[in-house]
Amino acid sequence: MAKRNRYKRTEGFVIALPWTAFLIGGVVLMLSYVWLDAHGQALGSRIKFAEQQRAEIQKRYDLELWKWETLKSPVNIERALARHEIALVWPEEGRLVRLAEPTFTAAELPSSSRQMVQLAQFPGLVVND
Amino acid sequence: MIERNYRNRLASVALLMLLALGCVSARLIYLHFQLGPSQKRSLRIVSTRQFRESLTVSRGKILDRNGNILAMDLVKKELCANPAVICSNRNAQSVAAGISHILNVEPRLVLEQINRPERRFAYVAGFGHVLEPDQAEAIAAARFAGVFLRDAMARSYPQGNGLCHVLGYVNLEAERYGCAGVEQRWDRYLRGVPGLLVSELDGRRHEIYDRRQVEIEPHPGADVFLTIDQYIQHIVERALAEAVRQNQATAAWAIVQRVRTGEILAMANIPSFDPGAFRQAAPESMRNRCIANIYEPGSTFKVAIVAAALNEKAVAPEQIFDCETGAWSFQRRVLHDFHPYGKLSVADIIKKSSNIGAAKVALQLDAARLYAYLRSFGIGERTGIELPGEEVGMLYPVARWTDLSPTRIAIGHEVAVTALQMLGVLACIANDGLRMKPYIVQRVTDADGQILFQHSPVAFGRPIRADTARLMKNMLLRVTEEGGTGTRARVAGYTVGGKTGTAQKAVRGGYSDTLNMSSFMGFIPAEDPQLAIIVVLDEPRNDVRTGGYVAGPVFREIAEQAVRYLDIAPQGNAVIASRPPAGLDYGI
Repeated sequence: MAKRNRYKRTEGFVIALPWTAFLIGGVVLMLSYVWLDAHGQALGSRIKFAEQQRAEIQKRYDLELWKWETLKSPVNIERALARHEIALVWPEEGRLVRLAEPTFTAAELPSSSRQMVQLAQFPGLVVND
Repeated sequence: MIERNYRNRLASVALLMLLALGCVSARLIYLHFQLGPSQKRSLRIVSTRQFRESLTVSRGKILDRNGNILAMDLVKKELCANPAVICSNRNAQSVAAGISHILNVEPRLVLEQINRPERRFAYVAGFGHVLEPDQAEAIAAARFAGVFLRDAMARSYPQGNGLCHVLGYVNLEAERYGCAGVEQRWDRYLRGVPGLLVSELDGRRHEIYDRRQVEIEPHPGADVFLTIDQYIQHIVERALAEAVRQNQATAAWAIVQRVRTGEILAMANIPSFDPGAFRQAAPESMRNRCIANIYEPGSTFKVAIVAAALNEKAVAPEQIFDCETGAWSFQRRVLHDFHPYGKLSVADIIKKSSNIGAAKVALQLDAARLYAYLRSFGIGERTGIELPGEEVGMLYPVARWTDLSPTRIAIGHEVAVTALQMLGVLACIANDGLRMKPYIVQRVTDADGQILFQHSPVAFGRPIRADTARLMKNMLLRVTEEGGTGTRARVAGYTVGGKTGTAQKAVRGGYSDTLNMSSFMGFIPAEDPQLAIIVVLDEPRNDVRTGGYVAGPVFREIAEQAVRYLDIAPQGNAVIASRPPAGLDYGI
């Protein structure tokens, strides 16, 4: 093995490999930091913008909700009806048909009605006797 | 030589630059590590870039039983101006004219606010005044120089004046406290918890998001669902307004209650006010008379007396009393009937509303027993409804009664009640003797829909037996039949039980001959009562001022629409739906 010549001078400026690696690593780290910081700030701006948008949408939603509630309030509906000269009246008691839950079972029905009850259980089948 | 001078100059410049950099670095280290002697200064430096903001939170909504919104928070616009700018442009007159045209106010009022060159800020329409959305749009479109709009959270009431006494209002302070009605009583739930944001600002005073230090999300207020039905409420308010107009009454109030549960479906007062502009309202118009006004009930009180006597078996419905042909002297004081009657049964005393008959029935009961019955009916104590300002009423203890007292209490004098207390007596009879606690808040839910509070019907007790209540119902049914005092309260197709009341108002030194409190309370359908309604008119000024004549038709107006709307069958066996069948209301 050849002995290293300690007095031999190399030409130009030379940086040792470990130092080079250290410097490159440092630069990469710094660039990463700068990139992360910029990315974080960009994300922050987007979040802020989204927050403002959400607040604005919430405001508009509340406003529309309020308009709708005002529009369908009984007072306003009455005004609208009057404006269009529409008079609504409740139906007379004699014209109302009230349906109640049957108090009897199907078995208690006469045979013809029983058949209708059975037929009525098929969806889509119109029973009109 | 030249080379040397050049090097010296270069060295001097480099030295100076190093010196400058060194100073700047030293200052930066000094500022950054807060090495200065004054902590106050360093705090000031921090405060220039740091900000601390309380995140405002919206109050919860108030809704009716079907989810219709009755009160909600809305971001509205305040109209502000920089008078100095307006005046420097010399167009105060034209700006005032333009704004007043949009706001529909006098130009003079606007000019007073903006014609102040020494000021840099003014509320154009006054502090706390917020614009309606269409007004704000018009102002923004007009682009007046020196005039600007600012966001302001405001409480809005989509129903306008409707239900104002129950809802109450919210003050204009930053904290926005509920100051009356549900807004006040349920403020704890409605208010919510504001959030907090601590962060830093950049040079343009914009927040640096990644420097947020504290971020606490606000918790919006809970929503309060009432038992009120907005349509029934509207029916009642419309009927009352018409009655006040026709009878030139000072005021009128009414309550609709579900007999079986105690739920309040409507509670209305005339005069009313706009809760969004409560500062312009007269104090008298802001009182919820249904619970905060006590009055001598007059003949409606006979119901409680006769029910007590029947329950004690002190009298029977067919028992005859001499009504002294209209004038009866007792304890050297004469008691009169509105119409003179001879002998009447207990049932007819109720039907004809005989004062003398009722007084004689009261005398059949021991005073202490009578007092105990009245207390068990809830007279002289608050019902505990979830609204502020409920009055106790007035019922003196027996020790303060004179020999005359039972005869006067029997006709609704010497005792004072709220309309809600009086309705409670009738609803108790209609509910087979079971007295239910009236309530107006159904449930409270948070923003996620979780139930924080739910009200279930509560029974106070049973002042009278079920058979006594049935007897009373039959007797009250006769009041609206031919010959009774309440025929004008009849509803076509339905049976109605009820009682009329015409009380003379107490004035200094006695009772007024001209001022009356006219009322009618009834339940429908009489066979299976579902609704109990009370209507009171204060000082009607037409010729006939009896309760049956004045308040009876108002009852009819309310009842006949309410039973249709709630789909109550004439026999009362239909289920009251919490929501009307689709398309039933207004046919939409």
